[in-house]
Amino acid sequence: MPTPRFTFHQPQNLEQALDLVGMYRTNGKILAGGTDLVPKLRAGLMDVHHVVSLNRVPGLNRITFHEDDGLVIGAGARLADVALNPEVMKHYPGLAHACSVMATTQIRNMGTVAGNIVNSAPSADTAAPLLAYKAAVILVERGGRRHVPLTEFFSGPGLNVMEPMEIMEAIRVPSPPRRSGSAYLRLSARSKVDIAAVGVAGFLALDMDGVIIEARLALAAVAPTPLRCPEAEAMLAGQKPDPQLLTRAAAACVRACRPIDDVRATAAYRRKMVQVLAGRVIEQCYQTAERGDA
Amino acid sequence: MSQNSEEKRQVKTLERERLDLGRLVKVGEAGLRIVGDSVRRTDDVLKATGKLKYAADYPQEGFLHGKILRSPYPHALIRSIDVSKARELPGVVCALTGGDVPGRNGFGAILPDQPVICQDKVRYIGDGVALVAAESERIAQKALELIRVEYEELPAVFDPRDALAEGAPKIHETGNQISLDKLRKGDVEAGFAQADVILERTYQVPFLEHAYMEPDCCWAIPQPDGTMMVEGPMQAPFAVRRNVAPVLGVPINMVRARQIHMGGGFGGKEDSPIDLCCRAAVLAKHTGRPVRISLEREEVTLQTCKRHPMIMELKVGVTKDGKLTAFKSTVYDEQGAYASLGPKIPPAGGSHVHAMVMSPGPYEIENCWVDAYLCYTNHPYGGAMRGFGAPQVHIAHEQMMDELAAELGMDPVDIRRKNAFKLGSKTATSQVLDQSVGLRETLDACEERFGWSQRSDSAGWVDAAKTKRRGVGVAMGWYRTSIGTGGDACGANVHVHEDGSVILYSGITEMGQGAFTVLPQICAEALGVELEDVRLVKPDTDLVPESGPTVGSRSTTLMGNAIILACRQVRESLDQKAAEMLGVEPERLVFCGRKVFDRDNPDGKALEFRQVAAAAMASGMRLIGQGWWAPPKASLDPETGQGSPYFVYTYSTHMAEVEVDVQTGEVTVTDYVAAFDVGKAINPKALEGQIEGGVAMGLGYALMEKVVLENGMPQNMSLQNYLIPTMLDMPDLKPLVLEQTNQHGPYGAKGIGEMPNIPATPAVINAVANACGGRVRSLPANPEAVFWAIRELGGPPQD
Repeated sequence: MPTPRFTFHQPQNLEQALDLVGMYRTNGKILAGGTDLVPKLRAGLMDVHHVVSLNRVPGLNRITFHEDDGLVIGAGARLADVALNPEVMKHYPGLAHACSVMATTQIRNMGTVAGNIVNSAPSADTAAPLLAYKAAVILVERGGRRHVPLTEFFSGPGLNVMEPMEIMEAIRVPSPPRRSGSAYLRLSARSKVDIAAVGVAGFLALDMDGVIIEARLALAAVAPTPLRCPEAEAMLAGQKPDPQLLTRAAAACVRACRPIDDVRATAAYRRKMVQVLAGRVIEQCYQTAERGDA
Repeated sequence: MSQNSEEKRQVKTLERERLDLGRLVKVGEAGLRIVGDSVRRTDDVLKATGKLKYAADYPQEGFLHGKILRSPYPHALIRSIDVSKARELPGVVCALTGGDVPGRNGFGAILPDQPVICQDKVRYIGDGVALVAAESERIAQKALELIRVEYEELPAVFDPRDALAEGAPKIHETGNQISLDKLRKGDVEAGFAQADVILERTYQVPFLEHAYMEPDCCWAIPQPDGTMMVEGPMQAPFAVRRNVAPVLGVPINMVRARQIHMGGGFGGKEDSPIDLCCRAAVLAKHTGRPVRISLEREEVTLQTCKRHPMIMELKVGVTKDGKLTAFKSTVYDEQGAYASLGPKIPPAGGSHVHAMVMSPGPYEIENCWVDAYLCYTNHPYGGAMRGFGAPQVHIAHEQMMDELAAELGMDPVDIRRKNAFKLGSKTATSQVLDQSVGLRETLDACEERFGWSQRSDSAGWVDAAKTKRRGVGVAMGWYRTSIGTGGDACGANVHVHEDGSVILYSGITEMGQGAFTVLPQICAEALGVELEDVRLVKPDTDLVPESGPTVGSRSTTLMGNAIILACRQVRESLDQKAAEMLGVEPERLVFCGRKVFDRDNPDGKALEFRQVAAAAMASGMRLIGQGWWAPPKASLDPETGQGSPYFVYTYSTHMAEVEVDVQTGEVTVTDYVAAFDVGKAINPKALEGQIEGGVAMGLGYALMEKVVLENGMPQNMSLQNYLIPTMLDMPDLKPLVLEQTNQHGPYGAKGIGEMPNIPATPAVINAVANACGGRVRSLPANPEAVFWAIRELGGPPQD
């Protein structure tokens, strides 16, 4: 395969990066980890003349957590760093798990959470937990900055609402309340080193009596975009889970998904697996929430 | 390798007879020093340090880059091809169509039925319709886009049963059925009459990709004297030469094929280098310049051969105490678009006949009946892949054995022990196994190491929540050494020099299996020198004697014997000279560790090997030996499939433990024991490597691998979507090596290359069925298939 040719830019700060992205908005691409971009370039799937790397922009790889403000994941933060960050592991176990089981060691060492979101694959592993955590992304362009809730970010397979001149600067995740629990479970044809065929993430917050105050469930790889399951969430809110409720809520998740047949799995199997994994995720979230005060 | 692995390694000698190799090999007298020792592989350090050059690492200066325009249709007539625009593109040196092939427009490992450049018709997506050579790959790629081809689509056939139907679209002029091969032993109906239980089952396996790490890369360099030199990773340089010559329209001696160290072949690089070298050579001939063709992974999937898919309809009868009485099977073996290595080379060569011969399994069965159809379809073509037809049929008979055992309420181990081959058994082809049959011993060893009875008793739920169940599985297997053709032979040259150093010329290729280590080990042992004294000349058809292909688990055995014979010729001179120098009878001489001494007086005077070599040289004696070895004659009656097709077999038993998530169908292989009767382990550590890799491959076949085809088009062309097992999918594997001497093998060795992956697949499938009750009869048993199999039962067992 002929090696693609392009000019590689390494801006030293965000302003320079924004200038370059603006200048090459028609035939440029932003590179963070490069684990999705480079294979696409090599396959000749894109007509790209300029690649703007964010890797020299200081501060972009930060991962910070405050009890009040929650978590900020910089656009340059690697999957492996997020997976092993003690605060993420403690407060956002679903995200930590997603970052530690997706892809391969090599990809996790290079790839970024922000890149996983910008790439907007229906099967993006970090998307489901981030949706369940009610995350928002921060998009910057020259002279502007906007917050987009992740629920409004994806618009189709590989598509999102970002403008060509925008850079994703960071992902903000609210701080989880006390007595909450979260989880992410995924399934793939090869259990490791494989793209998810089904991913289910959940978040539950409980009151002191163990009644669910808020439930959020999100699915990956079973619709054109990762998505939330409002019907199931409403079903759980105000309830204490029992096996029947679990089954009904999981069934509501199945109704939310719109899977297809592909080389990884059939749509029929994916629906069955949403049922199984959603049930397990809700249960796991509930158990963690009951146990902990975190 | 880890300490743990050193401890795990167990080589147990069952039988060591004095071999028929005369005074060269004095087993148990001088003892073996190098053979049987796990010496470090000769290419280890180069590979680990990245210094070993694979084809893609070679400099490309001065090369043109060849590209192939492939058919987008599985079956179509070519109405017209216009390459004029491509020729006009600056940087393009030539663009060729079918009429431009100088000689025979066809190649193939057995039949030349595949066009170098299709002229009138395409038969699969991936068929080459035009070739381009350009100054860069980029330009060549651009040029392909400028070629205009008009096709007229024809109805395509994608199922071997449809291909056989009357009025099916004809893929080749000769018809869709390549052959119907038959095996008839005893009276199968009488056998069924004696049976208490008769089961009928259909098992199905898909196309598999070899997924060798190194994508194909070959080149052709025209030489000043008119010779065409082709190079690349190739398992069969002589077959490449045999094809390139007629394609160029020149005699065989005008083509030189040289092997470059291979990054994995698994049988696939028996075929693909024929394809690439023929095409590169045609481009080189037209341009007069070196031409290189290098494939991307996706191109490898599109263009090169696969493992044959099969549909196997079995009917087997058994008495209530577990004795097999009759075996009947109809096999639909899908060849795909081109013949490759499917068809028969008499008496018993080719993958299809091999599959037929192996299909009743390593069991004594009085009455056998097999009809095996081999037919063309418009899919990619089936070629050689580690096991050559045997893995497919093992998946059928080994599952059937478990299904029969379940029906009888018998332990799967017991039903196998009841029927397994032993010394003197008659196979389905009525061959009497007169030596080296260690099958039952592998079962015993495996059973003990695995702890079969305890483990099968404790199968069932793993967790209190009842989501996971554990199960165990067993499978047995056999595999031939050699290829069963009339012309299966190996030649080797050995040159001893006056300083005691040695050059070994062999045409057996290295693809990671360790031939470049094991063959020099045999040579050093046979001459009584050290391993580092032997330098191996790499396969080059101008330098080495015809060795046949590096396939069929034949290298160590056939080439090993040829090397010993070559050494024996040299030893005649050395013996005579040393006898003179020591003043003893030649029969009493021992050559060992660069020393030559009197057997009866080992502490007396010893000569240096190099002294003897120098003295022999100075007296004008022959220090060049040539060995030539062919296995005992193969036979197989073309009507009844009766005879002795292969001269010796390797035997094996595998046991696997798995955990199945019964709600999702996910399978984890948690433990594994594999036992082999290999005759003699020349290099136990390298052999263990074969076992580990082979089991991994078999596990992939069981659980995840399948080329997904839609209307002839592969849907999973990259390794992102074509799943093979990774290190993380491998269980803790315990290899057991047993040695039941092969009287025809060097130091008693038999083949091992292919055996390890054969029983692995059914062992895992049987374990899955044991765990969750669901049996997947159409592979792979990926989570989805296991899930539906459990659903079909109405849920997992509740005990």
